[in-house]
Amino acid sequence: MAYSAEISRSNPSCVLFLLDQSGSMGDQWGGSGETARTKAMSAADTINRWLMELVLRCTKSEGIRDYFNVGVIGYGGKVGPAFGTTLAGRELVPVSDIGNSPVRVEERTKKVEDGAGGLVDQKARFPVWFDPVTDNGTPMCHAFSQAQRVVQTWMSQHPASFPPVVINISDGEPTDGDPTGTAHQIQALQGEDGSPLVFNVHISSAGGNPIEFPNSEAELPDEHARMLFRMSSELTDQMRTYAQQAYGTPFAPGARGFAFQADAVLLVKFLDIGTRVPDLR
Amino acid sequence: MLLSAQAFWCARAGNSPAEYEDAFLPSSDVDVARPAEFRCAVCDGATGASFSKEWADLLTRAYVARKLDGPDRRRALQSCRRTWSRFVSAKELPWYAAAKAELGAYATLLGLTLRQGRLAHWGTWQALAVGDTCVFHVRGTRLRDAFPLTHPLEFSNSPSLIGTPKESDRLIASSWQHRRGRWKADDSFILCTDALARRALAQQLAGRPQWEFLRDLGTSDSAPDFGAWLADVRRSGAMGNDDVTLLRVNVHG
Repeated sequence: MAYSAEISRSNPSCVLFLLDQSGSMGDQWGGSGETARTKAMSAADTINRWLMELVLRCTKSEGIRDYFNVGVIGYGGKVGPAFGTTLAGRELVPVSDIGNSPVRVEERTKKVEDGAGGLVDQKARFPVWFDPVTDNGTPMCHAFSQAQRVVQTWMSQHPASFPPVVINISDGEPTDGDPTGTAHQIQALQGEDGSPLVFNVHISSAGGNPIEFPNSEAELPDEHARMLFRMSSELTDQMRTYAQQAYGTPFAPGARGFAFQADAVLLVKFLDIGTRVPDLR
Repeated sequence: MLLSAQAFWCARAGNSPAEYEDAFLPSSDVDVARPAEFRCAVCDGATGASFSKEWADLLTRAYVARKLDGPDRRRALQSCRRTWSRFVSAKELPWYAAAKAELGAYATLLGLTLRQGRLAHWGTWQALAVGDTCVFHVRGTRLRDAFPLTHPLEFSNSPSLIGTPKESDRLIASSWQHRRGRWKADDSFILCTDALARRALAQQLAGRPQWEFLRDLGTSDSAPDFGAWLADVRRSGAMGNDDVTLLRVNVHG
């Protein structure tokens, strides 16, 4: 059965982000005044939070177990690996290296329950790997071509592993053509445990209500959203079950890994579902 | 009461023995002892947490020291938590290890106490459980009692767990389970963590009970080797890949 491979240090999996760093990602998206956020800020925060949670999932008493290889390809003024510091230039990085190489670890304040019905401030460490970048156009086709090469190479080295998951976060207006064909070529690659999954997150300037894991494009408001929907893989049965548990509502067969206008909270939930795997050993 | 106890354990396939996160007491074989009371325990440290092995160790020790089945349980748990916190905070941890430790450690508990009756060949037993680590009371080749779970479908990925965060007590307030019974000479008690317990109950349900096999493991040169048997079962897909612990107490009279 596909998508059932046990993920272990000898049989790791792979998650590859494609992160839109174009100029339009500098547009305001949510919040106002001092709390105003840009799309790029939301995207960077989401990836930082996801990376932190992934590192924690893989952390055991003795250190971080390399259950995953993770890559981030940024696309904007240039296209290529987006990690900084000692990870610069690396397309895929074992999760232990990621945990040990954040750009900085910030101390942030979060509200926690005080046990008496109230909330108190608690300091928490928040590692940062990515800062927002906004520059130039949206060469999404180029980014997907790089992803195809990276995924293909990784699969040839890990033929029995849980297949790679590629997650594209963008405001959805490519400036170098239509990436749909390349996305489908990635989805057509074959591993022993199935084909790579391509998921898309659309942070649109057009507004509208959030739509997550749709199984049809009928509700989507514009051609960019519909294009990203058509590039998105169906959720695996197990992911659909996770989504059902997280949202408390069933998702029909055919639900795709696509989110439109997801805010920061929904984005983290989306990424968690899209990268949740059967078991870590 | 004349008894012997022997433990068998194995880390999940692909992990090193140092990564094994169950705990059991007594930690070395008891070869024919004559106590008026015998206490033993098995705990399964949660895989998703860190420093679970240390927490599981503390819980087994607290049970065997009579601290968890009396009126002072809450105080005993607090004491275990302080010990665990001191152990963790004494370490220089990078941000991720500190953040993971802040989430706490968790473990199941199965404790068993055997007491001598008025006659040498019988007595009473008492078990305490949180979660899906089980004890099977076996007489001859037959299962007399299974506790706390009795059917393979009762196992899940989210058993009740005792945690280092004090707030977790609220979640398991109703999960402390007790069972009492009587033993006779030549009975066996088999304590085991979930993967093996589930398998044993499935075999029982299928009409292919393995109690005699488990009772005789390691008792003679002709008995099967635990590690080889476990590797075969795992390879066949009949048991999930998990840390496995079996603690067997044979009561001789």
